[in-house]
Amino acid sequence: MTHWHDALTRRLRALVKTAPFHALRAAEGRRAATLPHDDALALAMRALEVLVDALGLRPGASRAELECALVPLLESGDRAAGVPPDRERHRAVILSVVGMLLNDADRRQAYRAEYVDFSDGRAERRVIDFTLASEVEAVDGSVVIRVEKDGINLFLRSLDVDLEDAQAAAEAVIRSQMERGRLDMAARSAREAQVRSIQYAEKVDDVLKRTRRDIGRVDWRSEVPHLVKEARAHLEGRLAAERELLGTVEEQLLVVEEPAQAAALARIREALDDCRSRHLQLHGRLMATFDVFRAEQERQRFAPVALVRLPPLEEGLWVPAARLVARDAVTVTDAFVASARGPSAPAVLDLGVLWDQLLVPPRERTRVGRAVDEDALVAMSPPPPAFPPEVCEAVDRLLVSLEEPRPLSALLSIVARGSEADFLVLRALQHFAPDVHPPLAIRVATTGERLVAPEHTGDDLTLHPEVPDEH
Amino acid sequence: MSIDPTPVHDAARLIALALVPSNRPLANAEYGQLLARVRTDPAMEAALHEIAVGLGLRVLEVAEGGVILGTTADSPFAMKTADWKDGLSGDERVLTGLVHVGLAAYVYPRPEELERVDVKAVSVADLDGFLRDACRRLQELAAGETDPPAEHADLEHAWRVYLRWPAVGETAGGGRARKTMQALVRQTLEHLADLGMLRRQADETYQVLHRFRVQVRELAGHQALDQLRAVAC
Repeated sequence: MTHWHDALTRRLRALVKTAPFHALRAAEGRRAATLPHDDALALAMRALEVLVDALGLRPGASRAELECALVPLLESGDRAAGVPPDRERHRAVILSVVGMLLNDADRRQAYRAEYVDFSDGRAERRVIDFTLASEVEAVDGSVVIRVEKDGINLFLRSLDVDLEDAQAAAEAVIRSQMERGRLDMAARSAREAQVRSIQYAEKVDDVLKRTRRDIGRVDWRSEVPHLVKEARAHLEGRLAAERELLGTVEEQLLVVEEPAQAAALARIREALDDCRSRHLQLHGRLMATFDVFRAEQERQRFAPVALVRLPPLEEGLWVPAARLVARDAVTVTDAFVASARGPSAPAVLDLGVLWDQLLVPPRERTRVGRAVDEDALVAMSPPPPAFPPEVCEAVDRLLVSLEEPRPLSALLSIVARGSEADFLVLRALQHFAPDVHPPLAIRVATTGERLVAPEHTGDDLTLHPEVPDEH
Repeated sequence: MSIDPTPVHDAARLIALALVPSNRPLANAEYGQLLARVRTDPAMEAALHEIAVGLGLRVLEVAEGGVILGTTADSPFAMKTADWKDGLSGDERVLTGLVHVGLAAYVYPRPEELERVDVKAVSVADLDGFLRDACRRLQELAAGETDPPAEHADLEHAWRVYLRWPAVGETAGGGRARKTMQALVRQTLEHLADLGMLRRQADETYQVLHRFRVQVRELAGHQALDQLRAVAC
């Protein structure tokens, strides 16, 4: 008897999925940029939080957002260790943390880990693939980072739970926390329930998307009907639970007196409302699944390309092609190149258009518009200043007193937030490549780095005191 | 037989917009509207597929990001290796082809990677290193085989051609040499970036966009495999 059971396997699988995080920590100090006091694990957790927060509202978080969230942690670590902050080093550390989440070291494939399963009474090696985060294209063409299922589970501390169970668990947790008056915790749990709903919608969407692409790759005989049936039952249960929870929240909102509690309740209501509308949408989509199936079956019967799964491309295609003699290899790779580049509209020389263009007489240049009557221009009084004079003076005093080149980001940390910081940024921009003589004796150049400041973003600049005899 | 001109016109217009990869439905209002219509109007969707097939094109994906079209080797819309660079030498043609297929093998090592939608990353030096290692392994396997006679250069194995080219080199004046593998990889990636398949990043790295994956998965991979089988027979 091995006394092994499924729950142990589930927990083992969960533990295996944390391996990349430990590898990251093990590499601390060994990589040139990472110092022992940068807690790479803490940075990775904060990065996951930023990514989970972005979930559902947007396609993902940008690298700049991650940088903004992680730089303060790195700086505070540097302060505690008595090390001067180094922006270049910080960037390298962040790159390694994000690189771990994306699995950059292994060409961004899914992580693959082995474990031993004793479920059938004997030791059996098994393999799991898991993904923490991916870079994806948003609809507007920008590339953002999106947290994936295993990353979410890791962050929500429920690695070994089924999606459907996790959703029910999240709601049970909210209910118990509200009953115990722990509204802040309940609000956080409501947010977790919201993330579960988003994940759930994505799971069902994925099946529909795969169906649209190739109906043959989706098992419509047993897998999908099973999923749809399960999902409908799950949704109906969730909708009922959410209705009940919302009712409780509304009741409490009527009697609660403390503003902090009211705010927490409002957050819970918002998250639950969002879950509810997501679930209603998903319900609609589920009801239509079999229509999608029928329509795709009809359409794809006549699909022109036989869609068989490709073999692994290196062993199945590249190596066999590279082993051919050059003459034959070219026929294989040319077939690939012709399709891989995508279509391009052929450029055709239209003789008629060319002929017409050649015959067009050169255009005579005429003056643009009517002559302007100079007398009609009346001088206006100057507009009122956008910044109070004392703000301008304080900033200008700081700038002319510079004795050595300073980065804008450093100066921003000296002046007060708000109008002083705004004026400083505008002054710096005014002196960057000026085309009229600028008001102050300073010179501004880019540093090539990004500006990391609470209220401003863009390229960082260096402000040099101007040497008087330069011009 | 009479046909309703509206869906046909709209579908043809959508193909015209999709043929320019820099067009985005979010930035181009007409593209956005046509895309929304084709996803709900079966008549227009059918017209889209029919027109595409008639033009030698394939509709590979209709998604929020736009329509991705593919082409087969015999289509007037297909780009031949010779089209984008005149006067490629025999070596360059083999190597450019190996780099194209090699890029797909590098970023999509397992079949599952072709099913995802994420963006991959590649750098000039990494791709060259990856392919060079693969060639070295083939060299070890072939130890003991003799080289082909000099007068039949095209009977040389493709991997030997690859290993003949240096990864990097310097010109007499200290500049970067042109006839190196890294220069050729760089040209290929730059060209794919111009076609909207990749996006340039700093330090000679590129983001490999979903569009490239769709082309490989739906068409290019299959076309190349068919050709490989034909050659092997």
